[in-house]
Amino acid sequence: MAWANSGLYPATLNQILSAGANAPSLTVTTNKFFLTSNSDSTLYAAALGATGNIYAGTYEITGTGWAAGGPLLSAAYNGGAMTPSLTVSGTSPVLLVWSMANPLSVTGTTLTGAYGGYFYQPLASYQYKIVGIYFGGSAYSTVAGTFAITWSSGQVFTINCAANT
Amino acid sequence: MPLDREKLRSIGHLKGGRTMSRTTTGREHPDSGLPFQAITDELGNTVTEHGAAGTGLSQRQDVEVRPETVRMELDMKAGG
Repeated sequence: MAWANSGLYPATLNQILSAGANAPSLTVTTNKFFLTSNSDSTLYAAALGATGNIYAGTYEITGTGWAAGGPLLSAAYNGGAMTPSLTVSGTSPVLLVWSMANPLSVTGTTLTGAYGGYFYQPLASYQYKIVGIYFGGSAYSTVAGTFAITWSSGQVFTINCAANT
Repeated sequence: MPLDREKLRSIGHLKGGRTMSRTTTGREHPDSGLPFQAITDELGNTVTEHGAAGTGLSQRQDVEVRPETVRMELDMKAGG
């Protein structure tokens, strides 16, 4: 299989909305972001805790300056925090927006063949993925350089909460 | 050191079509003469290769990915 799109993990979202046990918070900087190769399958429909819904190192991309599991959001912006937030925006549409105050930017990395990555909760036994980010279908590599992700207008994902009239 | 985007635009710009990659080349520092080449692909992602002075060899490579915002819609009927 391969990367094909970005997406939210509904089983994780369900756990958050139902205040389930060990549900991730979207506003903490203790979450992490890890990278995978194109051998990875996103499996957005996976059940909570099942293969695909949780962090796995099987197809993970690691290297110099980028350890297994990826950086904490608290340190993913040149050693500082990306600082996530949830806000409500607009009246038509009405959007729930998950934003980052800063881009992801990690210096001094040597990484080979990243096709996408995931935000996830690095809590042992409950390492639920939150959202997968597809890089568009090409492999991206660094050599002793900076790996950066610039979010469009700072937004990682939006949910349109109002029906069309 | 962050790149001066305005300077990059003024140095050299091989502009392709809307779906083509765009390549920018030049010298990062006029004093040191360190060359670089930045390629922005059709996805808007940029790979910047920095060379060693006088060698033309790759010394460092940066990546900047620019993913689109993940946009979700709740499936609801107005007035329903």
